[in-house]
Amino acid sequence: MAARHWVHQFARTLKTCRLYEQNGNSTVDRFLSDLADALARFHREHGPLVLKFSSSDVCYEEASLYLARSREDNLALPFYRDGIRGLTFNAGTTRDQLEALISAIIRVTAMGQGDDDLVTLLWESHLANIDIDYVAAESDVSAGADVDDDEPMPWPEPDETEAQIVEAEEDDSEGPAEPRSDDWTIRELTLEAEAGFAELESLAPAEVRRFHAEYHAEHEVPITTTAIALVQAYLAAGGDGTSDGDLGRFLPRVLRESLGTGRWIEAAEAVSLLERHGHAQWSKETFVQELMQPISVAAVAAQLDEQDAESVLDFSELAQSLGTIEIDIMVSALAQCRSRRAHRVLIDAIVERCRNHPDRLAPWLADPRWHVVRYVTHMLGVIGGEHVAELLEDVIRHPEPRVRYEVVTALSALPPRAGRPMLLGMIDQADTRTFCSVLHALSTGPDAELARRMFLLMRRPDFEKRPGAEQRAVYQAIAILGGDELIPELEAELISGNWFSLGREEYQQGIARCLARIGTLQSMEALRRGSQSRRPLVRRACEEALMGWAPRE
Amino acid sequence: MSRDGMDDTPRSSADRPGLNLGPPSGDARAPELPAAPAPESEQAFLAGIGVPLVIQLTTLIRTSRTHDVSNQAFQRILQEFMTLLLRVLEEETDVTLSAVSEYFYLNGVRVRAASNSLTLYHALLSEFERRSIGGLKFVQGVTSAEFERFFQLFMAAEDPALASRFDEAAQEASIFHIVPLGPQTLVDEETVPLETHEPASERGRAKRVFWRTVLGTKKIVLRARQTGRPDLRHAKRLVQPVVDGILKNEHTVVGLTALKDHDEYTYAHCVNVSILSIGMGNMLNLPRQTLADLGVAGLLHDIGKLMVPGSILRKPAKLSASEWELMKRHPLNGVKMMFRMPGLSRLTLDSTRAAFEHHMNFDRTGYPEVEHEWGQATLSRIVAVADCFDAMTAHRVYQSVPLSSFEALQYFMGPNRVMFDPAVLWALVRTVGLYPAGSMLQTESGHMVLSLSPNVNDLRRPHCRVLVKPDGSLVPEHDPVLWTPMPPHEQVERVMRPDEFTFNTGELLAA
Repeated sequence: MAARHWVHQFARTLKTCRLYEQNGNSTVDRFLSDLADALARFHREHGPLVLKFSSSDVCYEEASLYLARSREDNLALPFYRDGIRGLTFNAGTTRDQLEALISAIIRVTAMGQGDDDLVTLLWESHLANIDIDYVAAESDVSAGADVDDDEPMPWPEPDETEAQIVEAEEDDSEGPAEPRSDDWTIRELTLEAEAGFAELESLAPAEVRRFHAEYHAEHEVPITTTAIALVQAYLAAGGDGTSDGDLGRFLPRVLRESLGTGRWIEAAEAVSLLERHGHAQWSKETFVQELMQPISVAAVAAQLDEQDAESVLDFSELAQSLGTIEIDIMVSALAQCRSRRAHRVLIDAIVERCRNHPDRLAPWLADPRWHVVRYVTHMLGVIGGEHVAELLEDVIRHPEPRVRYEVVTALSALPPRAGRPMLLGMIDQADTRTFCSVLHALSTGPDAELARRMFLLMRRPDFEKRPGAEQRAVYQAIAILGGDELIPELEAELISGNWFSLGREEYQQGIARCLARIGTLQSMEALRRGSQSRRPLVRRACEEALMGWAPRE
Repeated sequence: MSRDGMDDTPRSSADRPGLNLGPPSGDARAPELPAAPAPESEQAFLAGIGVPLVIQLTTLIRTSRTHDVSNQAFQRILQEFMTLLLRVLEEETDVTLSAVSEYFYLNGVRVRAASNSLTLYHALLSEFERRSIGGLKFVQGVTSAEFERFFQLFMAAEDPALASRFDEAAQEASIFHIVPLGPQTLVDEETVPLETHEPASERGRAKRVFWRTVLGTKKIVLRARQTGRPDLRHAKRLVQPVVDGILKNEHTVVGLTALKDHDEYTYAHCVNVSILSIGMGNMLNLPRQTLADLGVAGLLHDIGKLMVPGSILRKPAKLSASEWELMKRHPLNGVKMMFRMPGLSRLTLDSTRAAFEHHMNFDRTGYPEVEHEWGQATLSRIVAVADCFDAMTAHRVYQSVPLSSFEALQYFMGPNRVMFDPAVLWALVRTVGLYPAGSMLQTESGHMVLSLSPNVNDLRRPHCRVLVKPDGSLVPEHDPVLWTPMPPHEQVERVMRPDEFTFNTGELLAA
């Protein structure tokens, strides 16, 4: 039977859609397209498909199509429970309409479903080709009311305790001057309605356009912005702002929504309002704890990744409004962000906030995530100062080379007195990249002492076993750090060895280039002498170096 | 001896001419249709006793929700009901109370609900509908004990699964003198879809939607009183059929907002504001979803009045300054209650703003006063106009002479129009027409007609009911003449003042 076949296909599609993300998943697409095609076939052969729902069965023309096998496998229940007794799929029902129907079922059956029932969800989906037969929402009049039936039903009076309204004192003074019409006041009636309307009619095109423009402008404002503005207006109008009031329950929702949608300014405003009007159970500390939960941080980071620099800056302002925890919040978010723009803005913000207290970042140097340590190291480097060196001491031996590399960069930004000893200490155990970067960091200008240390490094027996990059880094360092005081020793090293010292060409070329880069007259003289050497390797190395000689700037 | 001296033989409702009895036997739920008029005096008797019978039956249903059938309160009402029933059974061999197209008929005679019992009338229609029952037939020999047994089954049949086995269960319980009947339909109503019991006429659908919404709103308000917050989910469901109707250009429901003189007006005011707001939003071409949001906002705009003492709300005199101050706090109270609603959405905010701003004006007057610059939202402007229009025409204890709808419209067109957004005012007139429902009109041809609902195609020619012909003769009530809409050759000469006629416009509008 075609109807049974289609209903079972519908159930399978529903299960598939539950399993996979509906957007763009090829399996889901295929299931939905097949379902739509099957329905179109049904329409061609049998006309509209009218399904009826009981609490445990889906029926077509009194025939059972999908009897519930278990509570989980009860296709009819979500419909029946929300008052839907029948669905008519008319010709022209599209794949999109079926998808909307399935999405609605998934929504109402999901854990923590929203506030809407299936009827409302389907109504809002506006399924033009699917008719819904449902039980009206209203039920008996008397439910929930203990009212004497003989009496006309009054507007229920407030409980005195609930309303907290003081009965109006007997008062001789009168209210509004105009006659009363409920809560409105009426003034003089005048113009004839027709004449008035004729005038309105002439204005209508422009006025309706203006109304629409205002309506659209209003509805482009994010709901959190409107909510905050509304709360402020409510308070400015004399609304109840006491700490046990309802505002205290409403504002946390605004705050959550603001965070969820990345509206950081509104979130900060909500925090500020909560501090003044929050419920007794609300505290900034508890909120911060919630915010620092991994799931919250991930959500925040996802928002920041999508936002422009200005919005990321707004986030830092929000963090600042939360007090000393601000750094932790920002670093947590930074750790999860993927966008470089967000990284840059957050790093700048954190640096700015920690400039006078770099130790606020210290706890994060022990973070198990290497990239977090690297960010923090970087920020400490930007902050600079002697105190930072101490903080970085533990990170020097971080197992991740990229962190160590960042440490070198950070140390190089510190005053030499603070950074240099630590950099030198790193040389012996450094990997090639770190080694090179340490030497690069140390080579900021002529420094006889350092030059000598580099020279000694070069003269070590194992020097020529070092990777080429390290050797080049040493030559480079000597060239930058060294001056005339080192030239005799370099020259001696250049010409050391004998005719049989084969395989040292690179070493000699390296020394010759060091001399050339030192760029003093003395270094040029040394090279000239070398270029007249009887040993061809020395001679050739010096001749080549001389060609590249240039006076030191 | 019967009241009119006719023969004493009790007659069966089946004897009445014009009744369609359906299958002759074996089907206890066969459709039974209202009859041609009974002899005049008998008709008056049935029409007269029908009203208390419907009220007592509704009261029994309500009472049984809170009391057992053995309870004294239930028993007292049951005895009153049985007294009425037996009184009819003295005259007739059986009594059939049938629900057909939004009306009750007692042995074929229409039971006309008074305006102050309309809600009870519609509540009973809903009860029948919920159980897929078209009527109840009582035959000679029915006793209180049998009715008790029947009633227990009747209440249980609220569950649709049990409703389908109602007949069977009644047989098993040895109930032979009370017979549930199947859904009824009038012969001349062509397209009544029995499966949905949807009234065929637009007016029937509109009335059903209107009263359902009133009852639902009442429930929301009463529940809000208990929980301290309105039930948004329920409110959404209530406004959806209104939006659907208005989008289908069915404007009769707008005409029903002119019904003021009934016991549920307090709740109907919320419904009226909701309907008028949806209508105006539709005229302003707002999206379907916004119309629904607007409807909810209209429904809940006065929710803050739950926190205003009833003594002030119902004070039959001018409010003192301090009372007025308390009354003026209801928008703030409304916001306070709206803050309790779960979630945060465009709908909750629009509704909250409407509750907050529906007494603010476009010209920045009104209340509550906000210390800083604060403008009324577009949707709140619509709700404000709808609220003002409906409130002005309300029959309240403190208003000796309420304004007619037409006078209210004049108010909006006068100097006070600066208080309202001109686009919204334009939409109001487009929605209610130039001669709003409830206006008594005199045409150039000399007819006296009651405006029933607007005609969106020609605001000057509403849908009307003719009451008096040019020769001064009354149009018989049982054979009404409807202009849907007023014909092109007719034209309104003037709108009559309420003191110029004695018709009960409320009952005519509700009919």
